[in-house]
Amino acid sequence: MLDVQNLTKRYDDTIALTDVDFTAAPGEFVAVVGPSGCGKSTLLRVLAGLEPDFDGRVTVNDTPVDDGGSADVGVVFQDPRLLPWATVRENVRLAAPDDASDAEIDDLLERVGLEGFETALPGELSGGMAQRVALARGLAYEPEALLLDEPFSALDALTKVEQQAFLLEVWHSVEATVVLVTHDVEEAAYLADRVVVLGSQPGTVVDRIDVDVERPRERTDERLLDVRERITTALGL
Amino acid sequence: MATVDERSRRWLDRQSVPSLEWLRLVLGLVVPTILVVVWHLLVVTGVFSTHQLPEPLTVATTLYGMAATGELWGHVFITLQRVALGVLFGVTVGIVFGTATGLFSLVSDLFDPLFQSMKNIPSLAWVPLFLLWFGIGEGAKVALIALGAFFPVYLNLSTGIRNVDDELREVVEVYDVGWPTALRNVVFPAALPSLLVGIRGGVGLAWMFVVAAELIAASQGIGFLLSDGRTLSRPDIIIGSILLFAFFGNLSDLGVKAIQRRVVYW
Ligand SMILES: Nc1ncnc2c1ncn2[C@@H]1O[C@H](COP(=O)(O)OP(=O)(O)O)[C@@H](O)[C@H]1O
Ligand SMILES: [Mg+2]
Repeated sequence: MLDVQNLTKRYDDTIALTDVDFTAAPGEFVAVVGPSGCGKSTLLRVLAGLEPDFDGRVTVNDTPVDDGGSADVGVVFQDPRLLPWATVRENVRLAAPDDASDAEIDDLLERVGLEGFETALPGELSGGMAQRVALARGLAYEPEALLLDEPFSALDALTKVEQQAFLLEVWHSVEATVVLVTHDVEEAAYLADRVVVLGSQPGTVVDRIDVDVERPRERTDERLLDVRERITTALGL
Repeated sequence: MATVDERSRRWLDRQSVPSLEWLRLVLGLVVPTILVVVWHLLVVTGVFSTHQLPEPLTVATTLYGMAATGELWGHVFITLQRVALGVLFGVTVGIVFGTATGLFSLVSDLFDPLFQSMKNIPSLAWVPLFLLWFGIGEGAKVALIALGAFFPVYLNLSTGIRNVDDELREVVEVYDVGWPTALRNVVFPAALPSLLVGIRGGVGLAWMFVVAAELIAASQGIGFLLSDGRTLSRPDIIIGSILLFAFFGNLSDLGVKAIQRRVVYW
């Protein structure tokens, strides 16, 4: 369970986030949408324990993130951030428990569609494949909550649809809480149980929308279109 | 699933390796060849007198003669041995201090200012001190060369370790990677390219320092040949020694470069 209360985050003169309240229940899929520069990445960084200075209370399973709470949180960054000298398998192993076997890691790689690339180097992969390695690494960590920072923004439309389907599949199988940051309104509505809309300058929550649509969903479902409509309005577009 | 970039790169590789590389190699030999010819002409036409600048052929004959009598090999061997030992010690100590200062800011605060201010002392300045400390034996020369090889290794490795990408540091932090694993799998590989740049620089400086050592305090070695050639007024020996330094200096650099390419494979 992720809980953010009254979060304000400043970088020197820039106020990245003000008074953000945000929760994600265990197993929930929450999308965070907002224009670029509104503090989406900053929110994830705070949750992941990468930002030591902030005001407010941020807890994971009731433990503050600045007090070890972020240990159960995995992050898939906006760029893959793989070790260029390590094979795909070794990159994933970095986040896995010490006793993880090759077979377990390869199994994970198969799930992200990278069968046969276990011993490839990141330099030999396409951008989308590298991003999937990063996703497999996040899953190998077996986190309570997986935070994803615009993981699909660099992909072409077709690959994106494929990866979204894959993410849903993984989410069902590992039963982790997922927080997906995106600036793609359609993606947010289609994937999430709940959408949190951030506005900019300074970044703060402008709307929270429950997506009460059973799964599997049709992308063209009327109710999803309504959700998209509401997100767009909240964004002031 | 080859991307367009990959495919075009492979295509380029196939095309360029045999023909283009060879052409460039040959092109690189054009100017030196012209210089040798001009050199020959200048001496033959009497612009330079032969006791200042001998003909290229004389230099070659002298070297060949010394090689045939076996005199040359003793000099070459002892110089190579000094450089090898000096590089071995210098690189080892450089790795130890580079790693320690790169990892621990306290160690860096203690040692870095000292090393930074020592690195600009010219090699020749050390010679008298080393002679005084280590005598005129091999120890003094190897120590001097080691000192030369030490600095580039130390400086490059230390900064290489300290400048590991922040983004990778965050990955280590987020995924709770333990210290030993982080060092072995992230920090050291990330610093490896810097280490090899340092070793290349170190080997280069080792050659500068061996000349300094041998010019002043040696009875054998290529540097000794150099000073002996001056004493005997034998420009052919002097130029021959310079060419020997050029040859072995380049050879060692090519060797380190080959290692660099193998070790930094990504
Ligand atoms: N390390 C930093 N130092 C200073 N300002 C920063 C830093 N990181 C982010 N910011 C600022 O905080 C704001 C929010 O950034 P970010 O969270 O990256 O936005 P988003 O991910 O929504 O595009 C931006 O105005 C950005 O310039
Ligand atoms: Mg961002």
